[in-house]
Amino acid sequence: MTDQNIKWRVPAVDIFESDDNFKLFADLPRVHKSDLEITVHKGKLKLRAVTGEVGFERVFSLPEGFDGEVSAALDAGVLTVTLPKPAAARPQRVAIA
Amino acid sequence: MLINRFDPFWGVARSPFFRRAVPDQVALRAGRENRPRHAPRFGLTADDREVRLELEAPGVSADDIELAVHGLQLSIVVSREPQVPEGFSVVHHERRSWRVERSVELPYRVNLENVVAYLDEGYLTLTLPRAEDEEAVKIMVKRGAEPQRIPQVVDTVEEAETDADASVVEVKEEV
Repeated sequence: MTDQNIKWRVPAVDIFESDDNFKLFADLPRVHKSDLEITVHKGKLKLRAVTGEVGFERVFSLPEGFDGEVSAALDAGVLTVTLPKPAAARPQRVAIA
Repeated sequence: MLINRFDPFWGVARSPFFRRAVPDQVALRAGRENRPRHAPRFGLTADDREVRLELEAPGVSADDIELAVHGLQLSIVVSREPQVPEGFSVVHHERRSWRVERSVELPYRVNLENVVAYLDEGYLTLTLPRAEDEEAVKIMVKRGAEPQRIPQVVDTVEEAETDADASVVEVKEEV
């Protein structure tokens, strides 16, 4: 796949964490769902979008064995990716007998 | 055996080598001018036919944008504050708050009826087409002098005790 003179940009990203999930927010202005490609492969989360002459790309490393179900939503040019934590990584309340 | 903390973004926030652009964290092809920015990209261009304004405003809704044209003045006010979702803590933070507040003098009058603004997935474009030049108004020259205007009585005192107290404006008429 040739680049066709695409200007590549790194999208600004915020990452948040709760007990159950990680949430990643990426600013992708002028990007539509059809331009966007999110893949999880070999321990890497890759965000990639090409709109016209501008391309956004960013890759994150995931720990080995991550196999949660990743979900994503795009609204007003902001992509939200939700990565659920496996049970072992969630805080566990220990009951005291 | 220690269980590693589950943290998919260890390389982004925690690694001491983050600043040295760990290769798979940042697209190597992006030049320095294409790294995440502090201020939104803003463009204002004009040619003979129209003025165009372009602003990258992801996360902004149409209601948050103030755009106005007054005579030759175009003004824009937009601001954006990314929020932390409820119940979450911050692991890594790059998307900055910003505010754009500008007033620009246009190079020509614009046709306000044909002004179009679009907000497409956080990308604002505004097009201001140039106004048609109005027809020049011809001025006829008349012979003679401008007719004199008769001063109008603006104020009178209704009742006067004596002539000495009354203040009446004398109206002079000229033929």
